[in-house]
Formats: sequence, C-alpha cells, structure tokens
Amino acid sequence: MVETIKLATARELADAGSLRETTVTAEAGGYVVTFALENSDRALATKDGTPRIFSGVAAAARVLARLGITRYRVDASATAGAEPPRRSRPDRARVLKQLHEDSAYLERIREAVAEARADSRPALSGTDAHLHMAALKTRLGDELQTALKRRPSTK
Amino acid sequence: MALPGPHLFIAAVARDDAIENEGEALDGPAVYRLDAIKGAFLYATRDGRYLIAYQRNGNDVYIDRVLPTRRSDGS
Repeated sequence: MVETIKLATARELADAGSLRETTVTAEAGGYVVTFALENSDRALATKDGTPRIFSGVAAAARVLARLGITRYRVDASATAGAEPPRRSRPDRARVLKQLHEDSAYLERIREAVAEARADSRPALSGTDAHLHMAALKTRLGDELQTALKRRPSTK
Repeated sequence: MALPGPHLFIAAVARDDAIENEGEALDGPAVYRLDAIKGAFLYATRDGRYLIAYQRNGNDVYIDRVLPTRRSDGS
C-alpha cells in the first residue's frame, strides 16, 4: 500500500523545499497527488490517512497552488490518457455516506429512548427486573425442555 | 413454529445475564454522554454488541433501552 502524507506535513516540506517532484496521477476513480521525497514517494492523504482522490487535474492544481506548488507532472498512463470518470471527491462521498449512516443510527437511538420514556408504566427496580427476567428465563427453559421431550426422535 | 436449539437458548440467557450484570454496574467513567438526547448516557457492553441507554438521577440509574450496536445490527 502506498505511503501517505497529510496536507499540513506536505505544506511544511514544501516550505522547506524538501519536495523533489510532484506528480498528479490518473487512476480509475480520479487523480492522486504524489510527492517524491528524498527516500520515498508519498501520496497526499485525507484526514483519515487514505490517499486523497481528486475529481480532476484542476482540483488537484488548486490544492497544490495553496502549497505554493505550481510545477508538477501529470501521469495519465494508467488511463491511457483518457479522463477518468468525473466524480465529486469519492473519498468525501464515502465520508458523507458514513455521516448519513451515523445520523440514521443516532436517530434510531433517539426514537428508541423517546419510546421508552413515553411508556407510562412505572419503572421496575433492579431487583424487580431481575426477578421478572429470572422467572421468564425459567419458564422459557421449562417450555423448551418439555418441547424437546415431546419431539419425535430422529434416530 | 421451529423449536430453538437448546444451545441457542443457553447462549441467549447467558447474553442477557451479561447485559444485566453490566447494567447493574452502570456508573463511573465508562460512559458516554449523548448530547443529542437530553439526559441520556450510553454504555457499550464489553462484547461491543449492545448499547445501554440510561439516565442518572442522583445515585440512581434508569435504563431506558438496550439496543444492538451498529456492529450487531449490520447498519
């Protein structure tokens, strides 16, 4: 797996003149920015450490310009020169999907808690709840034992 | 109705006992205050499969719901 570098670190390295070469590489889902350092190549990463995927060269160029990088190489050999399918920040789309799922899950918790709090029956004490559940488990266990005895043998 | 396997029943009872024991011990730092729901605290069971949503009132703890975590319900 490709090693990555975060934007803040890339900025520091750019300021220090430690980025030897910058390449914008076309991949199936978009463009990845790679920096050649002294001993290794590092891909520009998202906040979660995965390679950041840009929808186009222009989008990558905007970020590079903010780092003061205006000279870079574009490598489109992986897509035979063709423009990768344009998607708006697929990594951001994943984050948004995750946020949507998180909020849906939170909403389910909220609804379940609201439903419980709307229950007008008095709350059970810990002891009452324990006795209730113990009785329920005993009854269900007995019913299961009885049913198992009645079940015709399969041998 | 299909008869459940005894091992499933035993596992369910054991799971319920474990949740009950952890519910009994609710207190201390292993809690998460859920700002989105007024007065709600969340506790994840040690196996990571259930959430206990509860309220505190003085020294008392009121359990509102026991819910499957996202890991458990597949969402």
